[in-house]
Amino acid sequence: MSYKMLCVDDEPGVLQSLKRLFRREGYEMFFAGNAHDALEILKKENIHLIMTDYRMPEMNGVEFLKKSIEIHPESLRLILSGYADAKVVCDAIDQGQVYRFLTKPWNDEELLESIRQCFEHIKIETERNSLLQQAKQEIKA
Amino acid sequence: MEAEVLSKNEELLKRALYRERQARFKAEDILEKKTKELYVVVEHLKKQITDRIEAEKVIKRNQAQMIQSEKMAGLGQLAAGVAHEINNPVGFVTSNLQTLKKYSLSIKKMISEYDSLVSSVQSKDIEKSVSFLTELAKTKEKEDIAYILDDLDNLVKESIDGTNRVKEIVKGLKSFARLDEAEMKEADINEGIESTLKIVWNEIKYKCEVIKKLSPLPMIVCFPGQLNQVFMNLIVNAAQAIQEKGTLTIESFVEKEDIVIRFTDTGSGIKPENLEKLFNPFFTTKAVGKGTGLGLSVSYGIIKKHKGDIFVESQVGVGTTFTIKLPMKGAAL
Repeated sequence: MSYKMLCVDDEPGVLQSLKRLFRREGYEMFFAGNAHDALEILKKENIHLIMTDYRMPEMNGVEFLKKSIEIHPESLRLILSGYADAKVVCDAIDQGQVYRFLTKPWNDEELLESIRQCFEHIKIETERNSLLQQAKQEIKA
Repeated sequence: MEAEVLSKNEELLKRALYRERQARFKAEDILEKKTKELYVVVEHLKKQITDRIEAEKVIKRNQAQMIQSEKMAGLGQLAAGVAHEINNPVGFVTSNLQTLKKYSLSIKKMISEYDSLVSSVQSKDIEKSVSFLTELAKTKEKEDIAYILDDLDNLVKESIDGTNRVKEIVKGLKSFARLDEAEMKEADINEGIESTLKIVWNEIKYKCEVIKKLSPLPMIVCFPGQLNQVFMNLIVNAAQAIQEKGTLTIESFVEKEDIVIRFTDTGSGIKPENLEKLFNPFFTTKAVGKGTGLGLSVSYGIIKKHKGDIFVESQVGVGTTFTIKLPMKGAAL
């Protein structure tokens, strides 16, 4: 099974460069230019990892993540933003329940590594859950 | 008998002299007193004058500081926005260059294999040529050359767009601040409006559509940086007055002896009771930390300094219009 990642940014140039960056990483990639489109994708796809910009028209990154939690509470959430005052970071943690807050301009290798770690985390989490499930069933039996 | 008369006369004369001397002493006394008083008054006046000159100097200095600190506060609020605006293009351009580096490695690999193929063909080594050819095809597949070739133009185009944007922002910042200009100089007001818009664009782009109706204007002698500060205040205020989405219309034209600049927004409007207090220092209806309350009062000061005028019309729920009139003759200070 390949992991599914969704990138949200109102800046086409950013989405294009991310598309290039993740092209050969083997993830199934989804891209959205605004929060509305991103929510539509989330309704259809089982996205494992969401990475969003903060400053976007109509709905900012934190508001979007809050809504995403209603659809996919188990997804891992990241913010990639060039706008990072303390309040934004706090909101991202408290309301958006982000796993990491990454800043622009980003470093390609560091970003790739962060994303790999995220998927590693997801993998371990899934394994743990299935083992728990297994254990529970064995106890029942 | 005669001697008696004489001595009596002498007596009278003596007395008269005495009286006169007494009177003179008294007058001199008064004069001296008056002179002393006058001296004190003059000294007092002198001190008052120097105090006054000193006080005026302090006021002037404070005013200059107030303008500067208001500008800095405004810029501080904008800095985060500008940083975002710059970090976006810098982010994707940097990433694109990294990708380009990888693309170039793949292409170089292809070229070097192609060179080997050419030399084996030239030496008519058919077996080797065939093997290099297959290798070349494999590499082309493996390195995804088709994708690279397809993407290359876009990558370069997007990156150039990105660096151009950074260039524009920095250019805008520079012409907005014009920090090096303490003296008046000839400037084009429309240019000031454009460069200010570039700076505040990130603050307003999600909220308002900006309609520009700028007619060509003659150059006027002014403090361009300070006028830009006024424009920035009015534009940011307009954007903040707009709740969801609205328009900001910026007009400039010549009317009689004046250049007229008009900012009309479709924001929430200003309550009549607040209109008269609008230009007072520290008057603000914004939340704590959102505004200094100095923006409009400093703007007012700057326009007055240019011998111009600034006024406001507003209707709650409809919007607000700020009109600035600047004499074309310039403000000969």
